[in-house]
Amino acid sequence: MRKTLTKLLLSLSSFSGVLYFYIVGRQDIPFVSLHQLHINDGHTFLIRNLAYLIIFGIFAYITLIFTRLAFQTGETLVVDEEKPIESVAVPTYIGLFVIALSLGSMSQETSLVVLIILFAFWTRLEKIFYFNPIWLFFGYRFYEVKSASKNTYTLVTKRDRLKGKHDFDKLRRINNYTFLEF
Amino acid sequence: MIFAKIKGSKRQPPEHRVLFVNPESSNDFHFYLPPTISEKTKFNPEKKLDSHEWFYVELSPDQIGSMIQPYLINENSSADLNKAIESDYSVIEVVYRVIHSTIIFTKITDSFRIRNRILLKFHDLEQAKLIKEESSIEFSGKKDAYFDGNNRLYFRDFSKIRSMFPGIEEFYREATQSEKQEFLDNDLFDVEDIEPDQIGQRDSSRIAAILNDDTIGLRDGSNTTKILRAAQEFAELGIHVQSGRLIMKDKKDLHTILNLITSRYYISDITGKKMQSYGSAALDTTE
Repeated sequence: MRKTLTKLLLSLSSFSGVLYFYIVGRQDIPFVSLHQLHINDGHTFLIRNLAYLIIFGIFAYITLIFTRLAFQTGETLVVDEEKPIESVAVPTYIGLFVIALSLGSMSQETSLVVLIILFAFWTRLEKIFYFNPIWLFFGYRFYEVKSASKNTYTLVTKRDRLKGKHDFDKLRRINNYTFLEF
Repeated sequence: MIFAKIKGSKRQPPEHRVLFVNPESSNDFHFYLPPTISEKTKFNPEKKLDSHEWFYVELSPDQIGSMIQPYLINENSSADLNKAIESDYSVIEVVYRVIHSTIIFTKITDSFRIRNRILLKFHDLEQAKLIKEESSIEFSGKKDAYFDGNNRLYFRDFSKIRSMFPGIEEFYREATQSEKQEFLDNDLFDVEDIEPDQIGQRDSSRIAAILNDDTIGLRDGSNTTKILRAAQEFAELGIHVQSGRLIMKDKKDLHTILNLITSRYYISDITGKKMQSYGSAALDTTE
């Protein structure tokens, strides 16, 4: 139960960038919607949006703490090859942001249905690939790694510039294809 | 780390799963530690053990490779195994804990499996409650086998651990002098310079296993043609066939012939190459 809840929080946090752009893209939220920027006070707009971003940032940090509590450390992995995957994952994410922004022009009901469908797909996708761009700001790097047995995983770690063979012995298993070191 | 081996089937080889990542951090597994073995005796199927005694067998590097390595291979890379999920519980056949290359094994039989039971549970000062138990495994931590990290495998009941270690049948028993003589006197062999008492322990065990295995059909000669054909097919092994008999000049020939009879030489269906295996066991074909 604890793991299921944590996984849901992880998914929400990972999806929060899309939620943020959905909110910004809405036409009817004073001091937040991009569409109302020209009729609102610019400073309030900036402060409110910054507040949203900080809330999502804090939420992402809390999910890290929950992950530490819910997923045991101690998984081991011998890695032969590493490849940073931010360059692949971030553009995909930006594509989602654009979709989220464009949802603002739809009716609230339609856009919510699309958002829910997107989230459902997102959680399915996370069973094999996990990415949270906010963690990049906490110093985490995302690597596609190949184990000595030639299996491929997503590894999230603070270790920078990973190259060559490495042994990991304090990993947490988010799912069977994603491991987190912290 | 605590792992599980799950049963293979016709279509799928046995697989291993991660059960518990860091038992050192939990009090739950404090009882699942290497056994204290104060008295040990070399495996002898005729011997009855006292309650504190353990049998042991000494494994060759080849045997460690075929029997133990599959359990050790993921010690340093548990990520390469999937985590056990509920549907695995009905097919788990071994639970094992690896601690620095030593391994504690517990065999899981059907009697340990709990399938959706409803229990009547009593509480002090409260009325009884019905508790539904989901599929699970009763785990007392009983140790059925223990590998010491060097070359010794300890156990108490050979029949229980037999299915856990492919090839361990070789240790089952050695052939007696008369059985070795019977083997050498078989019409299939033309023996030149081998006496029963020159035959080593491993080959002797295999002779016993061959004589006990009716499907090999050495005693009744039912597979003679197949054995001769196999010897010709693997001519590069140097087994000579003359007048429908295998020439056994020395112990090396004996060893090669024993390998041949126990199907250690085969042609890979995939690569078409001639191969040699260092252990073999019939697959569990029950599903």
